[in-house]
Amino acid sequence: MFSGIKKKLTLSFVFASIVPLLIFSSILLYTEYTVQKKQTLLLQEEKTIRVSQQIKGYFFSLEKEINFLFSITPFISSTTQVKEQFLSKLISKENQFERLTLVDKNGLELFFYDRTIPFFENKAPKQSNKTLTNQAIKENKTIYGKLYFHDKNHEPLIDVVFLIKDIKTGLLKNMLIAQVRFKKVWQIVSNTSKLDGEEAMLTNTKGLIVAHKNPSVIIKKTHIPNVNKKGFVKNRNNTWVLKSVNEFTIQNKSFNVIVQQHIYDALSLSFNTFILAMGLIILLLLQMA
Amino acid sequence: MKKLLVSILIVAGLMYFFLENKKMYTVSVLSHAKVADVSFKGFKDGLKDLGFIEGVDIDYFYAGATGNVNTLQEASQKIIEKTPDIILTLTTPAALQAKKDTLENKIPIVFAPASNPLGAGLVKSINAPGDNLTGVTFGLQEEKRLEWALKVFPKAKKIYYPYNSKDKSPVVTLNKLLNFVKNRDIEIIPDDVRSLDDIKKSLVNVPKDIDIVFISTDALVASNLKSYLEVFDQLKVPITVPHRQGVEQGAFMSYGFSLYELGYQSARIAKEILEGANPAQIPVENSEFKLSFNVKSMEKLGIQVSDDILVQAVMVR
Repeated sequence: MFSGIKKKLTLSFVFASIVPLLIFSSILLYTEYTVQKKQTLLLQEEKTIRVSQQIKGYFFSLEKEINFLFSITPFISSTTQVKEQFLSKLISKENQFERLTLVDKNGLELFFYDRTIPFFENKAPKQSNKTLTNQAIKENKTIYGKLYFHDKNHEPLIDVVFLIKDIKTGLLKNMLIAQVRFKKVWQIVSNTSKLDGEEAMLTNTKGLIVAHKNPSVIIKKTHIPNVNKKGFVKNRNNTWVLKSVNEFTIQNKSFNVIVQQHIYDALSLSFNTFILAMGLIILLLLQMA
Repeated sequence: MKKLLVSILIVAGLMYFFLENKKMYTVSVLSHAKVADVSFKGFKDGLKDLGFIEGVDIDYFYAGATGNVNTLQEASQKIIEKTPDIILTLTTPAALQAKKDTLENKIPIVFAPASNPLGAGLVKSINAPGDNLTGVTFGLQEEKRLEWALKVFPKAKKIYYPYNSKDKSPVVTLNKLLNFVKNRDIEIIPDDVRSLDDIKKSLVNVPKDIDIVFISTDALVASNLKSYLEVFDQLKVPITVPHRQGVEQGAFMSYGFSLYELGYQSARIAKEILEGANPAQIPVENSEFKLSFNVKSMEKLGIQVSDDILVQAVMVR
């Protein structure tokens, strides 16, 4: 008789305490999960848009600054020495360029100024980046080339062709091919992710990472799988992340800014609630046993 | 009561399971050149900023620079006996020695710096070192530094090049510089110094008609910069050095890296390794470099440098 009462009391206890606790925990968990996921994604999206604008702004201001310098400096009529000094000053400015090559209107190299390699005057002039210079002449504007990697330090670079015209006649005289480094973009991206387990990166359309807070990832030429996929995805280390992507273009070159966070960090509140609820349930069950 | 205690213990056990178990890491340092100690300071500061507090998360073992390449082996053995999580090497010979001594145990090595790690045989490739070594290098700009020196001294004809032929790094640089001046009316005068005694002897009889002293990426010579400065300041001959610390010590100019910044940069690589990354897959990074001049040295030697050049440089006052 007593065991029957005990059984009934236990069942009553289960229904009176554990079941409501389970239902309440599930509702709380689901609510927290959806709210946190939504908030994280919103924050990530806002970050991807902000970083995209900063990167675009950087290239835009770089372009504007160089064109402005050419417009206020009598560059064409200057001596080779003055031109060299001009390029030297440009390349020293915050190490933004790997090499600056001055070419004539036919694309023949006049001289270059490189961060690491000295210029040998006795070298025969060569055709520099013919396709890109021809395109710049044809479209009569600054042109961005393909993304590529430095053969020695394996850093990403992008060629930008600037047209240098005679102030009086407006005719094309020289062109400047700037090998632009991504160090400034690396800084922009590095300053983005401050949260635990969060990382930001810039990739090309194929998912090749060109800017990341950890240069090793870039130098290794790491690809991110499913570059355009948003939400819950497996990242390059085969772990689950919550991810946001924003695609943007600089001239006709497309890039993606990705901000992603490890799911344990992105949904930490939900996980904590889950652990707490499970702990309480285990405690209650143990009390009953 | 008993049940409650058991329950609490089980829950506490579960909570402990979820808590992160912190490990105390150890880093041992190998170097033969005191000049490179600045890099170690940068390394420690870098790891501190990355959350590794000395004495709490990480311990360092460094008995100081051995002062001689020949004593590196003994120092390396002592380090390996401690089985550290990482060996930090501050010079190219130290990295070579550590590599040799870790062939079996494969203790990860971070070099900060090593010049020309590919040429010195430290790594198989820059973006995939392929062994237990990786780190930060700098050796890309030496010809460019000479180009800068010749811009400042366009009439220079004789360049004195003291170097330790036992160290691969200055030998590689010498060949590059000889190639650079091949078709120019410039002579490079190499002077092989393999020990402190050699340096002392050579400084008694330095050639008197030289225009520039080119201190290479040579740990022995760079560590004895003070001795060179004493002699060449009197002879009014400018000295160019591979890193900014040399300019801060009194050398005339540099187009090079900062050892502190290089050490700081290498801390991030060490963090990756401590967190489980394989050094074989961590690319070798390059340090940033800048032109720098020492204003006091400029005044002492009575050298005028044009503003066009100075605006591009870091001025050490």
